[in-house]
Amino acid sequence: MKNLFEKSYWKKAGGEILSFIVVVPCLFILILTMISVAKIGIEDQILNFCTYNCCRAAVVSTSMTTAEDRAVEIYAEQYGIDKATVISEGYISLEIIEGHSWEKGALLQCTITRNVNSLLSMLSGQRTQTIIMMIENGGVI
Amino acid sequence: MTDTFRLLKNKNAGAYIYLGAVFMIVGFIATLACMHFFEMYVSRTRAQLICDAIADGAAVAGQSHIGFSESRAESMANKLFAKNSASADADFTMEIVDETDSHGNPTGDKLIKVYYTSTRDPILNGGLLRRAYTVHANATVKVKITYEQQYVLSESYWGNAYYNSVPFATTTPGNRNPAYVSWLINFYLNPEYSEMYMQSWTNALNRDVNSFFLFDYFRLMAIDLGPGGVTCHIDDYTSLGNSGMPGLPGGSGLPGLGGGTGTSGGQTLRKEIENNGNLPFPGWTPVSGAQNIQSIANTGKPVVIFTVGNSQRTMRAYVVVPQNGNLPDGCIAVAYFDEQGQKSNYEVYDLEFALELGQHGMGIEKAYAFWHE
Repeated sequence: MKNLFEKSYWKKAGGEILSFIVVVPCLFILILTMISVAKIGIEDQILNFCTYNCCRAAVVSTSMTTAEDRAVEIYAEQYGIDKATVISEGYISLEIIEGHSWEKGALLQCTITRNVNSLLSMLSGQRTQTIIMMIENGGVI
Repeated sequence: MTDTFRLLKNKNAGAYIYLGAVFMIVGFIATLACMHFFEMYVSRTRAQLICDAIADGAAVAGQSHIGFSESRAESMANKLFAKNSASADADFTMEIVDETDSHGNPTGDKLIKVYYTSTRDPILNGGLLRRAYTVHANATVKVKITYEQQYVLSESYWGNAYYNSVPFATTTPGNRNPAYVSWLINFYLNPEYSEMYMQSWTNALNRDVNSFFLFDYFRLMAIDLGPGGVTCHIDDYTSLGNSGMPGLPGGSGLPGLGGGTGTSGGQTLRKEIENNGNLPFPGWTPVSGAQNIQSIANTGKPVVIFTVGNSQRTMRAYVVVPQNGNLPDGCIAVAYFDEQGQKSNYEVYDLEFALELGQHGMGIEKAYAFWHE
């Protein structure tokens, strides 16, 4: 402890400490970046599966209303959010992109969004996944 | 480089900063590699899911009443791929093969295999980390040719309201028109999501939709036909279909039906049809080989066909309507109702589809036809 106040001490090996102090934040940021990338990748993975499951449940429904209800339920259960929040925040979007109405053979686009918080603010933000499937249940006699 | 080592040896602070800079560059490259890895990982997952979507869509699009249509399946697969894949480097191929059992015999089902390939550089296009990778993802979907989509009926069909909404539906003997008494009743779907359908039906309507309709049809016919009605005959039958379907809960308009869920209990309609070749409602007789089903239906007499699938052992019922138009030989006509109880257009079915015995690649094992005087 006494050496810390001696000038000779710093002259001997103080440079190493200085360089260490300079380098460590950079290393820390790099490690954070790698962890954030990993987290984003895992979140994207989960979002992919969630999008698929929501769309799958939707296309076997008999109407758009039922499809939306099912998709909201799956999303809410996946992420532990209540359904009202999912609906109000617009996390799920179902759209018939080919076809005029809910009928077998029409194409349904399911878009899921989620706010992902990584360790770095520049990598955080809203992530979106989309998948398109064919409506399999026309809901008509 | 020699100077660097000399500086290191002398423990010069600048050397450490120099090394630190080198280390940071290496770390930056490692970070990019990490991003590349996860990008590939997510892309592979997405490719797999797109494969599933394509295969499912192709499987359902190809289903038809007279056999699996490969052209329709391929058309839908191309459409789904074009919509789902934004990359110009992606491509897919699809195989549709006949499924065989362990002995190599065809089962009548189809297998769809979708292969999704993609070559692209996810991070740096033309830069230091240029990589091209190929993703192969395949999804196999079983297609049951006999499966069709079920329909959901409105609440007005249930209970006493049902009798008011259907044009023919009265309990007055003689006041019925078999031309309106026509439904195509589907019992089962792709087992991948049949449970969802059954659950949704149970939750929404609290009873077995398909069985209800069939029973209701026969009940009405029984009431209309013959003196005194024969409603008591329905009481003995608690379920219809294979053992995986729940029984009918008792409800208004259907007195005497057994309740509960689970496997069939007691005598079932299906057992009576399959084991005894008998439709246990008064006045119904099996159609003999010499009789023409459509000709019988054209005279206004009700005709019904039960088919049994060879794979899932599901039972389906077809009610034949009179059709005086020009039908090809061996075809029958079935009409549909919409949710408002309005009769829609007719559909023509290949009679061989319903009456073929044994495995002919159509999924039908047996068929039983009955008509009523």
